[in-house]
This record gives sequence, C-alpha cells and structure tokens, in this order.
Amino acid sequence: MNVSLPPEFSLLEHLVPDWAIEDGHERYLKRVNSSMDEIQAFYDEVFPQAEEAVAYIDKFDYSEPLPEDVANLRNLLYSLITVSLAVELWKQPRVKHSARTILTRVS
Amino acid sequence: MSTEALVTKPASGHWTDAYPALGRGPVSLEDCVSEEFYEKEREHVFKKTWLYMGRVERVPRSGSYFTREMQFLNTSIIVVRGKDNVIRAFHNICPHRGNKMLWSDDPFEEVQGRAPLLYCRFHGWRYNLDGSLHSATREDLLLDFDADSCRVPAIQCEVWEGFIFVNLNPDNTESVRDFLGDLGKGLEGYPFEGPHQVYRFKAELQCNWKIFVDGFAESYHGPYLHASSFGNLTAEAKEALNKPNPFTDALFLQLKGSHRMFSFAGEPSQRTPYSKPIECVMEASAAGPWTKVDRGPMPPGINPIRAEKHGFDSYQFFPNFVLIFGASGFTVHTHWPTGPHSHIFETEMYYQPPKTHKERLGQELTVTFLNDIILEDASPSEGLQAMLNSGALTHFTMNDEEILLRHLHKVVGDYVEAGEKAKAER
Repeated sequence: MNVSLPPEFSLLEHLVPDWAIEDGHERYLKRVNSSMDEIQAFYDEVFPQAEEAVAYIDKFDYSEPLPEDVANLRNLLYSLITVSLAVELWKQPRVKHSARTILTRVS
Repeated sequence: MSTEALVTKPASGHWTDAYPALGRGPVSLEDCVSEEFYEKEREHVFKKTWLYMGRVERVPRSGSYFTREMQFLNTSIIVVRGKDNVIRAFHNICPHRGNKMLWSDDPFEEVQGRAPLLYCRFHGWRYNLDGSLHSATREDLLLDFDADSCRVPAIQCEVWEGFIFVNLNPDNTESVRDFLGDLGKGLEGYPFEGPHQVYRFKAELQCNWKIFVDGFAESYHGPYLHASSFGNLTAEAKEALNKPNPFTDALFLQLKGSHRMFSFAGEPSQRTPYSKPIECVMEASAAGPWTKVDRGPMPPGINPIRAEKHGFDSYQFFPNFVLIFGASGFTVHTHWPTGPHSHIFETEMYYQPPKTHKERLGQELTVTFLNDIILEDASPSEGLQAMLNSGALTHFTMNDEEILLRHLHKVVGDYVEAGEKAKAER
C-alpha cells in the first residue's frame, strides 16, 4: 500500500496504514475495536488539519478517481468522521447504551 | 392528498380526538410477546400484503436480478427484469426438483447479478426471465413432460414510484398503488428516480419488529432517550423539556387506512451555537447538509401543511415499509421479523449524488451521525422486549404523541382478527 499523502500533510503519513480506510464497515469496526486513547490520539492529530484537508481534496473533480495520495487523505477524513462522535459526543468508542450492537454497512 | 382533506389538530389539543375509532385506553402488548400471535401475523399480515423488496435501480437492465431471503415466510424471492423490461418476482426454486436456484456459496445469503437466463445448477435446466422453461437437459429421459406448465413459480410483483413490491397472496386483487392509498398518492411526483448516492445498513435486533417501528413513529422520546446526542443539548431544547416541544412534537399527522405519517421539525441542519466541531468542518449534521439545494416543487405529501420550521416527514406504510424524507433525500426503513422477539432492521439512504468531495464528506457525517442515533434506540428496544417477555405488564400506556403506535397495533390486530374470522368461515 502506498502510504503517501500530499506534501502539505506529510506529518500525518504515519497514520495512513492504520486509519486510511475506504470501506465504511471496516472503518466502523476500527472505531469500536480501538481504545479511547487510540481514537483520541488520532483525532487530536488529524482534526487541526481537517479544514485544510477538506479544501485541498475539494479542488479535485469528484467525477474522476483521486490520485492515491489524495485518496489516502480523503480516507483519513472518512475515519475522522467515523470517530468524531466517539470523541465529541459519547466519550467512548461505542454509542452510549448500545451494548455490542452495531449497524452492518451493506454498501 | 388535497389541502382541504387535511385533518387539523382538534381544539382539545389532542390528535387522538380526531380518530375516535382508535380508542384512547391502554393498548395490549400481547402482539409483541405471544408466539401464537406471531404465527397469525405471518399468515394474515406478511403473507397477504405488499412487501417492499428493493428499488428499480437494483435491476437496471434485462437480466439484472437480486434475491431476498424471507426465511420467516419460508421462502427466498428472485426479483428480475425481463427482456420485455417488465420486473417480475419468483420463488427462488427450480420447478424440476425444487433446488434453490440463485445463490452463491451459502444458500441463505442474498445474491445479485445479471444473467440471460435463470440456470439451475442441480441438473442444468434453464428458464427464461419470465419464468417459462427455456430448456431441460436430457430431453430423451423426460416422461409425460408438459413444458408449458414447468415454470418458476411466480409471485405478484408491482412497482410504485420505483419501489418494487411483492405480494405472496396469489388471490390478491388490489394493486400496490391502491394498497398504499391516499398517503402514497400524496408522494407521487417526488424526485424518487436515481441516480442516488445509496448507503445501506442492517442489524438483527432482539425485539419484535413493531417495537422498532414504534421507535420511529414518535419523536416524543427524542429529548429523553437521545438527550446526549441531540435531544437535550440546546437551551431551546432544555427549555422545552416538559412543555410543548417545537423540535419533536408532531407538526402534522395523518392516519389513512392501514398507513400513517407524521411531520416534525427536528434539529435544524444549519450552524448553531451548539454545532459540534466536526459539523463545522464538514458543514453538515444529522439533519443533512447546511447548504440547501432547491429540488423544485414538492408533492402535497411533503411538508403537507407547508410549515416553516419543517425537518422531516415520516411515512409508515403497512406493514413494514417506512419512508422518511429530509434535507438529504429519502430513507427507507424495512423491518423483517425473524421470530416473535427478534427482527432484521434494514435502512437504505437515498441521497442526492454528491457533486464535490466536500458534499460526499458531509453525507458521510450525516450517515454516521444518524446511525449512531439509531444505535441509541437499538439496545433499549432489546431491553424493553426482554421485560415485555417477563409478563409483568399486559398493556402499553400511549399518549397523544404516540397515536401512530396505537394505530399500527390496531391495524395489525384487525388484520389478524379478520384473517382468523375468514379462516373459520371457510
């Protein structure tokens, strides 16, 4: 797997192997199988660059496939979204009062 | 649904007073616990009513097919588009020796694909896409064989606004459009047709299907069960906690035949002093994108009273097909029993195709947020079911905001009663 990110975001490259996850179901599993410390560390590193990253990705044509480094950056943002509620709302990886239940993403 | 016909909230302040036949006392919960009732419900409700299978976009070309596993109805259903462009449904069975026809590795996993013919791999018999026999193998071995009557067993199948329905009752004479009635007609003309950005999820939950339908039939529980996700976060919500609530109270509701709908405002999909950091980055929230797209004139069933602060319309078509309209597009919920105390919940979100990466990211946040909110409902519904099973309670207490629930349980009961009566008279 190519782990590169666009040069402006190269400091986040070490997060790519674990967190640049395109598949929505895999991403949710990553969230519920991570500790809150791991989630918080990921969030704390990516969130400050999120606005800039969204603007960077948004310059690319949506109807064309993204170059691999930009796709990695987008996938990090997907994961940021997936874990954001754990950080900003629940203060735990899973939804509060949700036991072991998750919704399985079919497509 | 013409404006003149809309039921307004009675002067008493209670919607229930507009529907006197519904009653206002406690509602028996036997239909959520009794195994005997469940058997009757399968027979008189699910085997006799129109059931939603999927959207037409799943079968775009002739030969496109998908299967639906309906184990609780003891069948598997093939939905396929024919060479004549007609979408048909069949029991997933080879009329030769009964082999299950379309499956891949696991006969109980659903499949989809495209094929010129329906092929049975047991003995290699082939069927046309209209279910008629194309060719048997080893014709020299056939005995008194009538090729015309050798057909894949058909199931009634009709399409309404791009939603494919089947009806397992071969004697059914009512079209799906007539079945959906005035509430369905009021939605005709909504931009249902694709392309869509589709997000699909499912979960098996340990509660009766009606318990989870009920959870989406009132927003009254929002400030309490969802207190920490959206229901009790803002000053306005806290202020309304024990008063008429502008976010969750039904703006409008209607019960028509076997179906029902309500509209409510919900949280606004816009930046507020309470917006979460991630929402401010993605400019979207659970209620959808902050930048609104004008989708043109809407049919009368969308925001029927044209309320200014309007967020959602939720339509519950009998028995288990729920359509929810909001700023992002429309969402389908389907609730499939797997037993008296369990069901599979499916949700399909049909959003407007993103034109930019930012729009796509915003949708990801909306979807993630909505699913977390659904999970807030899931385990409590399972705990609730477990306690219903204790037998400690025999009836639900239902208030005026819970009128849609009262209606669902009454309609299910009426179907079962009518079905049993017809059976006794035969």
